[in-house]
Amino acid sequence: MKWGNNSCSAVWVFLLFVSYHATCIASYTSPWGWECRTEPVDGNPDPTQVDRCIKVEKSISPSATGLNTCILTCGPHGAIWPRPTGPTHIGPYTAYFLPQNIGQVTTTCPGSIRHYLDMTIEVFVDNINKYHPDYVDGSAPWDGPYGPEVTDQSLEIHIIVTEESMTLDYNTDESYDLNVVHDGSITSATITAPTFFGARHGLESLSQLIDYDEEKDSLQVVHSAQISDSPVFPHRGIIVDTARNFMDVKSIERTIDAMAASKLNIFHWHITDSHTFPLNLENLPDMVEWGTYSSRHIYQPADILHLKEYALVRGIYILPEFDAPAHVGNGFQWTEEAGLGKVVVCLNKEPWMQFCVEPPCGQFNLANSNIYTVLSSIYDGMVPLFQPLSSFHYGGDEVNLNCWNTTQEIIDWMTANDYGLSSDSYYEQWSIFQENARLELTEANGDVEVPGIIWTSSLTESGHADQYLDPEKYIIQIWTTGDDPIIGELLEDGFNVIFSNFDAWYLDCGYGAWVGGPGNNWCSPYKGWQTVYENNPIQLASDITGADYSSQILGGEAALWSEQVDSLNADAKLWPRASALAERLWTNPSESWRMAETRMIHQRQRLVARGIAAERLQPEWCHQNEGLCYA
Amino acid sequence: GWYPVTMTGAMKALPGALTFVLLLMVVNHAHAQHTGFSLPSPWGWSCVEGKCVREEQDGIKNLMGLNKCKLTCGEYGPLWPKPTVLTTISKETLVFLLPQLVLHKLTTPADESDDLTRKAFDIFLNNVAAKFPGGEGKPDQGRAHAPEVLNQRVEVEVTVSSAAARLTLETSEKYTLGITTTESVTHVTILAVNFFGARHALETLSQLIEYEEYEDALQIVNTAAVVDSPAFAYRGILLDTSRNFFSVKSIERTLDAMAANKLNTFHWHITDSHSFPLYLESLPQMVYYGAYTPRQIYYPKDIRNLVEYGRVRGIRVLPEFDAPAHVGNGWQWGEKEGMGKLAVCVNQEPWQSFCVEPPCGQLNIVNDRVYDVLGQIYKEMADLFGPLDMFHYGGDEVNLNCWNTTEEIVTYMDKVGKGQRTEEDFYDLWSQFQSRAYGLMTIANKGKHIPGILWTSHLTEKGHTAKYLDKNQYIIQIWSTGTDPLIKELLEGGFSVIFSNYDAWYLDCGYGAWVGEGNNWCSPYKGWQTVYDNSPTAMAKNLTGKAHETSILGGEAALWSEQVDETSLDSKLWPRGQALAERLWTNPEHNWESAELRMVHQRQRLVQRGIEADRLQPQWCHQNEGLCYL
Repeated sequence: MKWGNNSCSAVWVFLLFVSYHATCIASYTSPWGWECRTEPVDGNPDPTQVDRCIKVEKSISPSATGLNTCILTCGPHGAIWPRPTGPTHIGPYTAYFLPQNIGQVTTTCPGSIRHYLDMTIEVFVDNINKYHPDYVDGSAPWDGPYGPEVTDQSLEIHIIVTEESMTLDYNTDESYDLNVVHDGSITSATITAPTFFGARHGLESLSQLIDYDEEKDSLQVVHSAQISDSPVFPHRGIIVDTARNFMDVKSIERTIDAMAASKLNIFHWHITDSHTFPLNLENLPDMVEWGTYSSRHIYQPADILHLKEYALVRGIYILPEFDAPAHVGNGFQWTEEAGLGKVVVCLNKEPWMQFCVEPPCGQFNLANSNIYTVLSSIYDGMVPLFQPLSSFHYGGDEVNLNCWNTTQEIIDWMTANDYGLSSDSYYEQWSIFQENARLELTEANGDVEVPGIIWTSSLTESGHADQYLDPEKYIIQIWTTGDDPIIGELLEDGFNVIFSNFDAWYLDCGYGAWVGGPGNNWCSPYKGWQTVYENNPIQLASDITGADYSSQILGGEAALWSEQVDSLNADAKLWPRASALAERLWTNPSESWRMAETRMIHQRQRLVARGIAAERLQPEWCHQNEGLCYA
Repeated sequence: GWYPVTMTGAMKALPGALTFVLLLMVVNHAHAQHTGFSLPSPWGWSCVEGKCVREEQDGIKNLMGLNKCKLTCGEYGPLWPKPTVLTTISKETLVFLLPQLVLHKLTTPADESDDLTRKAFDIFLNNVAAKFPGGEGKPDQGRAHAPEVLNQRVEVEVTVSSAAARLTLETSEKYTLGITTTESVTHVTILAVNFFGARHALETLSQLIEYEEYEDALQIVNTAAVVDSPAFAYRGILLDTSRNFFSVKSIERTLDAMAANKLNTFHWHITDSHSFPLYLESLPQMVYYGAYTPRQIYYPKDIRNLVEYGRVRGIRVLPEFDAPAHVGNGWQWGEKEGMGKLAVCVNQEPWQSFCVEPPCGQLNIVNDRVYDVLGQIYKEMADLFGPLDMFHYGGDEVNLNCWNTTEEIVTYMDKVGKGQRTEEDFYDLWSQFQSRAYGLMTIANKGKHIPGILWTSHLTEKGHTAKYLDKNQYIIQIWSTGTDPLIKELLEGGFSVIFSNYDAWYLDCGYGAWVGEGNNWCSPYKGWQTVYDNSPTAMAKNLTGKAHETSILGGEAALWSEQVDETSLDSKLWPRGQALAERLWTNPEHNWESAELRMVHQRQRLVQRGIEADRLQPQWCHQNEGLCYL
């Protein structure tokens, strides 16, 4: 029997045809639904992966729900990312509602922060609108038609904040309690937090109890939930480098949006380097004129002020870095003509390999005291843009001694002052520069001292750190490997540290080489999200020292050095891997990545809904068939 | 926010004072990249030994803008892929405005090639317009241009001699392009055998035009001659839309970027065991059960649009229907409709026992109904994608254990006297399936035989190919490593081949694992240098002592989509797909090093055209040619 002669299926085909074409694209009802079951997977070696959404035919399992409903309510933590650290209860049911039916929203707080709470509520409302697949530019078509099961429902939000501080620093209490109850037609969410920052995180968690409902074309909210939550580490960051390649303001906003979605709280901005100086300082316009790639690649003061506020509303501190005395170069070409002498030496010098770690070279001219004139102007320009400062990053990495030691002006100066020309002589002068830089920054900051952060470097090598740096004044950001013995020494010397060990948290690794080749870049291979997730600072420290140094570990940062990324694909390189970092730093889970996998995949979908071009980790089939993409 | 783009119209209608206020708001609120905030750049460029060198403007040296330098410096200027026969490019450029760039004369032998060439010219004009930093093709408002800029014309004359309007492996893609300038008119002369060559010539022409930074206008080299034709006839990109779905828009972007690199085959791996996103009018069950969601479906009009979208860009859309493995979701309806099991092992666990990755599934090739459905699928595909000059049958990664543990198949084997069920027995069965599939495609194609393409598989293993496959019917696509001795056997057996060796041309490699931990199976990542240096003729020569130019039809980079969807499609394909393109168009003797500067610039060109290509280097390297060396 030929296909076309099969009368039985011809009728069936006709019925389908009607349902496909009567209302055009994307309108047929899928045969699939989902059920949350506690059911291990035959063959999956991971015994912990038990609560999962299972794809079933709705005609066989009439109680099956849409995928989003199942994911919101399945498992002890539902779809919350990062996983809450305190007692958490996620109810099994959702209530529909539409954004226009958000009813009473009350904020009980000191008057000074109401403005910020209002703004963060606006962000929340926009975020849940973004769950609609047809959201474009600030609005979504919640057009219906809807039945009473949707239109009779509303969402109320009550926020109670006690403290009035809007400063995010290492003492800020970011905890919150979220309580969601339902009385038949009103879902009421109450967020209680000591600070604005905690309340914002509470709203973020609430937005993760909400998702689009495919069948009703509405939103839905888990209508009974209690979450008590606070982060393990106070420093949960991402570093973005805007000097090797420029990142436009829009792309930085997207990065901040995605950070907020994962409760990350530090946007560490490596704003300048030897390649460019894209920051327009009004008191020092020569820097950007000489230092930018083009007039289209500039951060204006208004951009910085805008981003600072944009971040604050999203619970994020913008931590500025001005990297020195190395990693300076282009932008400083104007100083000689201005009568300040050479402020930077080895600028664009060749062959670069002799004078720096990557092209182009450049380092401050230690022999020229005008470096402090220029440095204090830079700080004077930067501080008002980024203040109030909670901390400041001095960079301080990868000084090339050969650059200094082959520059006649510096050799003469070292000799004339009897400093000597040994490595230690240079380290000594470098550390003096660092102390001077700290004093200049403090002065620029109205004589208010703030914690300084510096990268691990020759100054922090074995036996150096306690000699050159004061643990009361400096936090060390570790970028060597996670098993580097230097970590133990720093902790034993009493330094507070931030982890960015490149073997797990450098997100630019694993691509083709950008100097030379064939072959891949220096820190290959690529760090998959599992590697990012498993990188546990407390564990790394205790593996090295055999002791618990958790009180000195402030947290960590994933780094996106930008030699091989710009605004076009920063999203995909940062996300969703930085979400894995976020759960490590917020929750510091003792379980492996396997326990987090299905929530992680859903968090990626959430980022995409919010306009972040996050990378796909798996076939969509795995999102629809939880627990089956194992090995 | 207030953006100048949206303000322009409003400002015209407003009284002066209010306009001034609004203008202030624009300046205060907009970000640097949106405004005309401009600095007197201290930098200029000069061409030194084929490289653009950045220097400080001192008013004495005759320095150029970066774009002019890129246009005129180096033997091949900014051309990508490098022309194969002849290239001369003058050192001077002429500045002109977009409206002065016109199709002056078009001579073609047929309406269809006339129409196609006109469409290609419109695409060319859009590509040129995209060179303005704002992308609108218009200079900043209120900029006064010198009379010689306003009067400069660029007149394009295209002559096409044959009417060919469909790409085949025999199609000549050759063209010649001449640019000469007399007084205020620049004459561009394009001669091509057919539309496809003419289209490539326009692509080359678009690369001899750049934005002019000082005049806020365009510039074209005032004299050039290019004679060019590709080394290989098959220059492809594979996209898998089954593991993850890709919107039609993102596929259009892929075709745009392919056209910019003179790639000519979009190999569409449209279905797999994960999902079946292709809507078939006669088999809507496939998509009903097989699509991830109702939003992730290719409708007939989408397919027809994309086939035509590709054609006017010189690209064939080559469909693959992978079978008998790599099927599964979408085939669940057979039993419900009394046709028995059409696919077996669908979503079977533990997957490792039945397939290479989850979810499993293989056709139930002992069920005759399978062939009815397959014939129907082919018929619709031939109609949607046709007229076809080739068809891809897939044919990879059959898992014998799946069939060998399926009762219905075991029973069948007993019945036909193959009760021992050796591997050989299953290969015989599989090759019979392949023969029937070929016959069904020939019927679907109205009796016309067309070359079938098959992946290397057990059927092409040592000693198998000649036994199971006819070299006059099948082209073999090689996806094992570039040093696999199998390549030698295929070439010496007289098969035509397409290279996609995974150790260089699988662009999905190098990311984190998607099942288990560590990085994915074909790690490491293939950098553009690796992609560039992968020479099929050199590999053939290493293995056989001969280059086998005639048997090697070309090559293809593959983007399997387990770990990519449209959000990062562009950056995984591009600019690495460019490196492939020069390898296949030019097949250069040299390695990546002498292509680097042009490669980095071509990436910038793709970005101008709206492709989110990955960054290979700091922009500093683009502005300081030759200094990012090791």
